[in-house]
Formats: sequence, structure tokens, C-alpha cells
Amino acid sequence: MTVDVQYYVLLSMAVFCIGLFGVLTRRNALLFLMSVELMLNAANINLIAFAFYHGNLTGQLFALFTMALAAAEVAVGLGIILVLYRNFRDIDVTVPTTMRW
Amino acid sequence: MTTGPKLRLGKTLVPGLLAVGLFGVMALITLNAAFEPMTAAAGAGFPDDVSITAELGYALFGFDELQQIGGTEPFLAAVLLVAVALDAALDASLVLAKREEGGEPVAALSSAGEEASATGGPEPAVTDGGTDGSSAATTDRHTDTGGDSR
Amino acid sequence: MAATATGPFGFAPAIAVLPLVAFVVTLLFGKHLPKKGALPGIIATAGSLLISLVMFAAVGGGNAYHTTLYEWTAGAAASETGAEGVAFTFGVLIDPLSALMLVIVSLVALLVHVFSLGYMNAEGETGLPRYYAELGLFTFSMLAFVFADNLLMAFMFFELVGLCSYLLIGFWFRTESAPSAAKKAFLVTRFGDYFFLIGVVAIAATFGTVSFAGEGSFVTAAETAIDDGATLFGFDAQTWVTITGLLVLGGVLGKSAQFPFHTWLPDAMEGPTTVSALIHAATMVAAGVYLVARMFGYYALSPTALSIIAFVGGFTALFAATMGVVKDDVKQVLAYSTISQYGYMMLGLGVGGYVAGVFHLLNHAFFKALLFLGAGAVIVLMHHEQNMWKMGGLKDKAPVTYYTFLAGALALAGIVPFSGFWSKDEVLFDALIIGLEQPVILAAYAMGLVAVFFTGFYTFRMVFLTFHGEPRSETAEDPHQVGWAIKVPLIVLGILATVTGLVNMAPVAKLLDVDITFLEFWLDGEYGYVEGLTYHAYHETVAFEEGVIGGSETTTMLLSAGLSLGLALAGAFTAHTLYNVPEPTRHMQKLGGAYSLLRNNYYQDEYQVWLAQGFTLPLARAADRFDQTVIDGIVNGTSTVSLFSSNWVKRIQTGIVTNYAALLVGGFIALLLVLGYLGGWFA
Repeated sequence: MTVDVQYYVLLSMAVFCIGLFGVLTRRNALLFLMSVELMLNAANINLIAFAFYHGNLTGQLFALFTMALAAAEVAVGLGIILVLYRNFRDIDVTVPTTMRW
Repeated sequence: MTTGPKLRLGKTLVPGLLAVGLFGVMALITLNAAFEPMTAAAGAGFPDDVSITAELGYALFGFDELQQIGGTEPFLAAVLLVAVALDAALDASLVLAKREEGGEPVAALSSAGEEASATGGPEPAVTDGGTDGSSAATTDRHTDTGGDSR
Repeated sequence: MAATATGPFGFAPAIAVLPLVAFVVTLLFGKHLPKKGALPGIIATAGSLLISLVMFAAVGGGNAYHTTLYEWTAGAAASETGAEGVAFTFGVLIDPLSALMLVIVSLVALLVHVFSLGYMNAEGETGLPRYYAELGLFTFSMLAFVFADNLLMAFMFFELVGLCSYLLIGFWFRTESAPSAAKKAFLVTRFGDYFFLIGVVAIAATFGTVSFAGEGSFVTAAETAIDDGATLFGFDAQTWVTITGLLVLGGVLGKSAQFPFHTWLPDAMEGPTTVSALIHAATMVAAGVYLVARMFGYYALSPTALSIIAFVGGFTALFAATMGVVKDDVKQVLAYSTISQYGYMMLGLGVGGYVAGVFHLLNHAFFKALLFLGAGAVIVLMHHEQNMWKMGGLKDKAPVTYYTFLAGALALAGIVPFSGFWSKDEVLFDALIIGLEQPVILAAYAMGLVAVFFTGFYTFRMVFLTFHGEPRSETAEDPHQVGWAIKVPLIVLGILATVTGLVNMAPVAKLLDVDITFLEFWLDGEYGYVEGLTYHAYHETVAFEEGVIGGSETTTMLLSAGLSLGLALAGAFTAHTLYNVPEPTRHMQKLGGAYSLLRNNYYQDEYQVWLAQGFTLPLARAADRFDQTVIDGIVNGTSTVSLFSSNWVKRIQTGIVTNYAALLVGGFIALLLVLGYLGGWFA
């Protein structure tokens, strides 16, 4: 028994929008990172679902790469949050607004 | 100062409506799209007697002869690039975590040996900002100067 | 003979480079050199003269030289006549004309440098390194202009000559009048050069070449176009040649101070007298006439252009000569005589008398340099007094100056056998034989003939007032002494002014039937020559009919010579009766209203000033107002609007990531809705 592909897509969209919701409503930078992670994995769900749908492994491979890049992104993101904290004693993203104009 | 994640409700959730709206629009579009049913007849799925993990490994390193499911490109170069990217990200995070203390850079992964601890040199970096008094004072001073060096 | 021979010609660029080196050396180290930098200039011009003489001898040996030194740009644009591509180059063209001119220029430059030792150094002038550096640059520009093998190179050095004369006329820049005169000279000649530039562009665009000589010259191209009956830029080929020729002529009229661009030249007397000698005899003013001679083949194609040249020349000759009659300043008289004499050259060239025009250019170079240097000597004698009414009686006190000056004056007035007679007579003869068939030329001839009388008159008025009679001031009674540096150039030029006429004694040759018209042979390719650049070739091209009086050419020639000599003598005699008395007086009341007209130079300055103030200035003001309001308004308005709006729009940039994300998502939703609606995704 297999699930039709549009339900995978719906799942992926749901996960993506949950991540987006986090980005839009939270102010903590760490939560931001987690939300972004959710959005990335929403993409992974899509990739894997369509890999199965087309009977082609390339989508799965891409999901692997996405994970690797997500790891890199998190590493850099955590570094940035660290610096953010050191400069502002806070990781609230609404605080560092000095570089706008 | 944010001390920890806090659930905040009320007006702050208003932008979240955008996310909900986006989900609504995209769901509408998806449900209206006509997908083939997920059946082997329509070309979906993989053969049962094949190890997919092994296939992925072959594809990643470009062992075309060993593959049983065709249609994947060799990904060796991409694997190498990702390896480099991860390495660079690791270095970048280390650089970002580095801070200055009394004009001397202090690495986050300090290998402060016996000498340093013996002479009472800079203690190993506290990456989370620490609650240690002297460390906090140092970071405060950096805050005052605007942190322009970073 | 298409000259490819090198040999001595390999040194040709050095003729111009030597003064350039002198310029650099004097500019950098002038202060520390002995004689304040005169020596590099003297050595360099002596070297140039030496190489020029070698060139002259080589051309006399039957060679000529035409080469391209450097191509600085080439384009592929097809020209109007269909020639593919145009190349702009620097090249050297040594033919009889340029070899002759090189010798003249370098000789006069050398003598002027030597004379400057006596005129500038001995008088304790300041800023001498600057003076000698500018002289060097001036000589360099003129020499490079002379051997230029194409019109664009000629134009560039033509401009450089103008710049140098600006610098030198304004040498005493702390006075009030010198900078103003320098600016005037610069602007008036620049006005003419503007047309020249357009002419160069027009010729390059039409024929795809700016070369003077050879198969690929614009002269040959123009000839072909006229023969083919081509239509160039909507004009008949001949008309177009006339138009471009006249455009180039604009530069010539400006530089050679022909009417109506002559006003700068009398003012240019503000410069040191040595500079005047250089400008008038060999460089700046000569450049214009030389250019006409250089591209004579082009003008020869267009009878209209030639007639205009001849008429302007004849008119200027008379016009300037009448103004010279009433001047008190010795240099002013010479200035007007220069304008007048260049008018003769233009007349000569305009009637197709290529040899006559070049001959007069040669003679004039020597006698006018002599007269100016003589005037310089007089000014030294008189402790920088230039008013002739304060001189007198210098004959006995400064015999060398007197006799050399007299030789120059006789040459200028055109008294046989001094050089000016032969060339002026030849110009007038050429004008006469054409004039018998062409009324316009006849009018130009008549004006030139009348000008002979005035020339004789003002020349000898000057001589008598300066040297004869009783001294009329204290300085005239006890003049300053002059040194060898002044006397040697005067003597050299005095001899040259006396004898150069002998190189082309056309009337004598006709009368005795002997071949002694050496200059004609020289320019006619008896020696070395470049194909197409000979008197012979030009003479065939010029489409003028020739007439004779009394049925024979000899009669006509003798009549013409006798007429001009008689008029010159009459002028000199009139001056003798009026001014060669112990206590000469002014005779202005006899002239009546004409006096103030002449004294004010026919109000030429006034009308040009009126033109500038009454027409150009309001026009410029209107343009300025347009620029200030409309153009600047648009520019400022654009910046104001964008400043204002961006100041408002920048508020979107809150610096809060959430807001940016919200904007992005909002935009994305809007995009999805629009695309979905248009693509029917919601069906």
C-alpha cells in the first residue's frame, strides 16, 4: 500500500509553514535556527517523495546533500549567534538593528 | 535579555497568519494538481530486491557499473565539494567563536596547556557567554566598545 | 621618384627632436645653466640647421623622403569615396618645399636664439629659462609642422605652434597688456583653427586619408573623385573640395593673420621683439601660408577656393599696408607690414603662382626677421623706447644696425635688386596674367599693386623717422651700445635679405633667356621631388586662363615689374620728401577723416568687440541660463526626488529579520495568487 504523492507534498508544506511560522513569530535566534531546519527538511520530504514517485534515486541523493549543507549552515549560524550574544548580551533578533541604514 | 525560550502569545502571533495563509494557498494548489497515483505501473517505487542504501553509496562515489537502478548521475565531485563546504563551515564557526581578551585572541577550542594555567593566563573560552564574573565583565566591555572589530 | 631612400634622411626626425630636447633640458635645468638656458637652444637649433642643410643637399642630390614613423590609430570605417579604413599616423615628408622651409625655420630660429643673448640676457630680463624653453618648444612645433606628411599631424603641430605663441606673447605676463594680447592671439587663431579641425575631419571622412603625398593622398583621391564626377555628401565633388578647402583655409587665415582674422597680430607685439621676429618670419604666421603651399594640389583643384585665397590676399595686402602708414610704434609698422606681405603670398598662391608664393615666403622670412631683429636692436639702443617720433639720427651712432635695417627695408619695399622686389614682382606678374582673364583676380591684383606704393611709403617713413634727421630725445642722442650677439644675426640676415632674391630672377631670365630661375627648378622637381608635389603638376591642375599684354609674355613681365618698382620708388620718394628732413612733423591733418579711420585700424577691433559683446555674450548668457535652469533643474530635480523618496522608502528597512521575512512571504503569496489565477491553478 502506498500513499499518493500529494499527501507527501501536503506534509512537506505543513512542515515548511510551521517553520515559517516560527521564523515569523519568534524572536530568539536559536529558535530561528530550528525553524529554518524545519523548512529545510520540508524540502527533503519533497525530494524523497518525488524520488520514489519517479523511481529515481537522484532525489534521495540530493536530500543527503541538503542535510550536509544544513549541518554547515547550522555550524555557521551558531557561530553567528555566539558573536551576536557577545556583542549584545542577547540573542533576541530584534535587538541588533544597527546595520540597517 | 533572553534567558530561555518563552512562549509568547498575543500580537506577536499576527505575522504567523502569513504562514497559515501561505499553507492555505499552497494546499489549494496542490489539491488541484493532478498527480498520477503512486503505483508501480506509473513508474513509482524501486525494485524489491535492491539495497537502496548500497545504490546511494554507489551513486555518491560514481560506481556506475555496480548500480542496478539507472538514471542517477555520478556525484563524486559534489561529495567532495560538500566535504570542503563542511570543513569551511567548521573553520568559520571556530573563527566566529574566537574573541579577543586584552588584545590577545582567544580561541574557542583553546589548547591552553599547563603553562597558561600555571601563569594564570586567559582561561579557556566560555562559548556560551558564561556566568563567570570576570568573563561577563570582559564581554560587557566589548559591548561598550561596540564590538567593531568583529 | 617615390622616395624610399634613407641614408641622410634617417636623421630627419632629429631636426624637430633637437629643439624638443633643448626645451626639456632648459625647462628642468635652465636655472643652473650658464646664460640661463640659452646654450641648449642655440646648440639644438644649430644642430637642426645642420641637419636641415644636409636634407637640403640630399634633396638637391635628387632624393626625397616620405615615411611613416608611427601609426597611432587606425579605423575600419569606410569613407565617402569608398576607401576602406583610415589610419592616423606621424610621418616625415622631405620634399623640396619642406626642405627649403626647414632650412629657413631652423636658420631664423638659430639667429633669434643668438640675438636673444643680446636682447634678453644682456638686458637682465627675469624668467629667461622659461623664455628659452618656450622658444625651444616653438621651434620644435614649427619644424615638426613643416615636415608633417599628413594633415592631422600638421593640425596637431599647428595647434602647438599657436600654444607656443600664446605663451611667448604673454611672456611678460605681469604687465596688463601682454596677457590680454596673448589671449587675443590665442582666441582669434583658435576661431580659425576650429574650421581647420572641421576641415580635417571632413577630408578624412571624405577620402579616408589625410596624407599629403603619394598615391594614397587626399589630393589624388580628390582628383579622382572630380574626374569620376562623384557626388560627395550630396555635393558635386568639386564643390565639396571647395568647401573642405575653405574650411582648412579658416585655420590658415587665422594663423597668417589675413582679413578678417588679422586683429591679433598687431597686439602680439606685446611679446619680446625676438619672439615677434620668430612669429612673423618663420613660425606662427608662416605656418598658415606654408599649409596652403603644402596642400596646394588640393586648392589647385578648386578655382573658387583659389580665387577666394587670391582676393583675400590682395585685399589684406592693401588693407594692412594703409594701416601701417599711420603707426608711431616701430613694431606696429612692422606688424602691419607682415600682414600685408602675407597677403601677397596668399595672392601669389591664389593665382596658382606656387613658386611666386613660396619665393616670397622665403624672402619675407629673411627680411622680416632682419627688420624685427633690427627693430629689436633699435629698441635696445633706445632703452626700450618704441615710439619712432622719439628716435631719429641713429644712422651715424649705430651703422651696423642702420645698414642692415636699410637692406631689410629695401627688400620689404621691393626695390631692385633686393630680394623683396623679385618675389613681389613675380607674385604681381602671376596675378596680372591671370587677372587679364579673370576680373576678380584683376581686382586682387590692383589692390596688391596699390599696396606696393603704401609699402614703400611706410617702410621708408619708418627708416627716415628712426635713423635720419636730428635726434628727437635724449636717449636718441646717447644710445645704448649693442653687442656682437645682436650684430652677427643682423649681418647674416642683411646679407641674406640682399641676395636671396637672386635665386629666382624671373624677369632677368626672360629678358636674357638664361636658365637662372633656380627656385622654380627646385620646386619643379629638377632635383629630388615627390610625385605630384611639383610646380609642374600644380600648374597643370590650376584651371586659370592666362593672358598677356602687348602680345608677348616678356612685355607683360617687364611692364608689371616696371609698374611695381615705379610705385615702390614713388612711395619711398614720398616718404623721403615728407620725413627725411632734420625735424620731421606729423602730416595727419592732410589725411583728414581717413586718419582716424586708419589710426583706429578701420575699427576692426571695435567691431569684433561689439560682435563679442553684442552677440556672443548674450548668446552665452542665454545658454548659461538654459544650463543653469533647465539642465541643472532636471539634474537637481532627479536627485531631489530620489533623495526624498528613498528617505521615505528606507523606513521599510527596520533591521528586524522578522519583518523582512514577513515581507518576503507576503510577496510570495501575492505572486502565487497572481500566477495561480492566471495559470488556472485554482480551477
